[in-house]
Amino acid sequence: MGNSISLAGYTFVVEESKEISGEDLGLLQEKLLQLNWGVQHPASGPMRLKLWVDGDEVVKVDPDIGYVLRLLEKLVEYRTWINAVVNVERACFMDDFGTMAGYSIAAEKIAGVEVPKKADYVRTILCEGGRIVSHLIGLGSFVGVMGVHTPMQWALIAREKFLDAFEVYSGQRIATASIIPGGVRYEPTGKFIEKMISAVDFLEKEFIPRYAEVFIDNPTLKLRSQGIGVVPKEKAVELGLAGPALRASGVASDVRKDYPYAAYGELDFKVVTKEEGDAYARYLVLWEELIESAKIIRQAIEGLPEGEWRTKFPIKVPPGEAYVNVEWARGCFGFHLISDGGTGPYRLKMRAPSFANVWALPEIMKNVKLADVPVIFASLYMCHGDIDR
Amino acid sequence: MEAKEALKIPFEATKKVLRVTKALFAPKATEIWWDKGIKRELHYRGKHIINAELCIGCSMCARACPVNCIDMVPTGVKKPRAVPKVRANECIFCGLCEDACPTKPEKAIKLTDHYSMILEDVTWDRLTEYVFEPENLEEALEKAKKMEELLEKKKQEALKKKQQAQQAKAEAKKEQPSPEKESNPQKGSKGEE
Ligand code: SF4
Ligand code: SF4
Repeated sequence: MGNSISLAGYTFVVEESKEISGEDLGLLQEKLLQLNWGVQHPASGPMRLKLWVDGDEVVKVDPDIGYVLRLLEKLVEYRTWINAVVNVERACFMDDFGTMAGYSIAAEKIAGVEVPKKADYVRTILCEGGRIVSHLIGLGSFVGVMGVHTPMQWALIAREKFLDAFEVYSGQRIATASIIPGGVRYEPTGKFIEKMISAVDFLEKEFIPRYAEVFIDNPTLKLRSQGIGVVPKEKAVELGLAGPALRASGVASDVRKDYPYAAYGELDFKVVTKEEGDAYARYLVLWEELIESAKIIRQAIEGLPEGEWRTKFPIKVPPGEAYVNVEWARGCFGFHLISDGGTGPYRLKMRAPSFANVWALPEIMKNVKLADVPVIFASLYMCHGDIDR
Repeated sequence: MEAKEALKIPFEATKKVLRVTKALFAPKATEIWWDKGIKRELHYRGKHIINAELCIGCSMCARACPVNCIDMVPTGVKKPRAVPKVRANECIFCGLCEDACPTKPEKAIKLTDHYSMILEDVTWDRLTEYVFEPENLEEALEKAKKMEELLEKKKQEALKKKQQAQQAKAEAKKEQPSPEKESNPQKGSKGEE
């Protein structure tokens, strides 16, 4: 058994294993067991964690990714400026608006196109809708990995209302392809606004009180997730965590606040932070951001200006490059877009937050119990589509 | 105790039977939807409809398609030179072709709210054969042909006129210009019509 580990190319530093093994170093490798947590694990999604366990304790973690690689960055090079959004939005289907908005802003920066104010507001509404949809799934799956599947069903009911609103707006529920360079594709009709308001109403009046009553201050949940996978503030910055995971460690980093894009500069909202940095704090950050997002949507709908929602985007864009960050549901999403003067992007590099979080796993999961692995994994709020791209 | 529990069994059994019979007559939670003609919301992105009469054959739609699933089929007439054909099993229903189409006020290629695309005996060959084609292609072609003939006629007439005018000029040059003779050929050409 020890041989199989070394055959696979993994060797252990003797000093590191000393504290776990006790005295007999020769027997150590016999005691370690390599587990494949994932690909088929209900909590893992399409990725694998190679875990080496000593009894119940995790000694080493090695994430193995690449199961949903779709070469999105390469595919964008074969697209025109407008239709590249269908590849960008497929980074993760939960919140497809954030990625489309980021790409569009980058393209507009290179082309020197100014979008109308109405487009900015519609983008904000859609992005926050996407964030809510994504956070709902995040909350549901976090409790889901502990074996309770009711919250997921509740979250899906609330999510359905938002998907209905997206369908009225763009004609599609998930892959909407609705934000493009130069504005947004469709006019925000009265019916869309109506649906969006009713979805937010349902979220605020039905979902939030009911969910808060059962699954937020829940003693069992706390027992299971408090003090687990703690990342202190300095460590979080050092590891390069992103999004809710970073804010749960006490770093008030939010692109919406720090470098406002779309209409975020004109709206009033607060950045949710928590000091504890454990799995439960990350869960609470998701929860409170959900409430914030609902408020932002209300404000943006109230302030929705009149006018055009789309301007002309040139077919050929002058050479240049732009780097744009957006606060996506799962964290800061960076787009480095380069134009060589052609009809489409020359190169697009996406900096994905989940990819940053997945490489923090080996640090966070050192010496935790095997049963805590899914809890930490789900609390980091990662998306596999976004890890692999 | 045991006797009591034994007495309970038929009671429980009847309860269960009652529950099942109740469920049998309850309204169904799911339904068959595809033949109901359910109207989808505004902008629903379903099956394409291509109007060959409106199409000008500019192939903007084929260029806008992110998955290159639109083929331009040559028609043999001059306008439209080619009409789009959508390979349905590759289409991702993004609707960008509709956005790109320049015809006004109605787009020549449109995504309708027709969502049932049921194919029987699905094999790979049949899937690749599944395409959305222009529905009124033949009529449009006939119209286009007639239009072309008309144009051709007009062109030839114009040509004839020109030739006759030239001939008349040449003749006029030969036999000293006089106002009466110059007006004659024009009258003659009108008579030919
Ligand atoms: S709707 Fe289909 S045919 Fe039209 S652009 Fe999108 S993928 Fe191409
Ligand atoms: S359908 Fe529209 S875009 Fe496509 S060739 Fe015809 S006129 Fe051009």
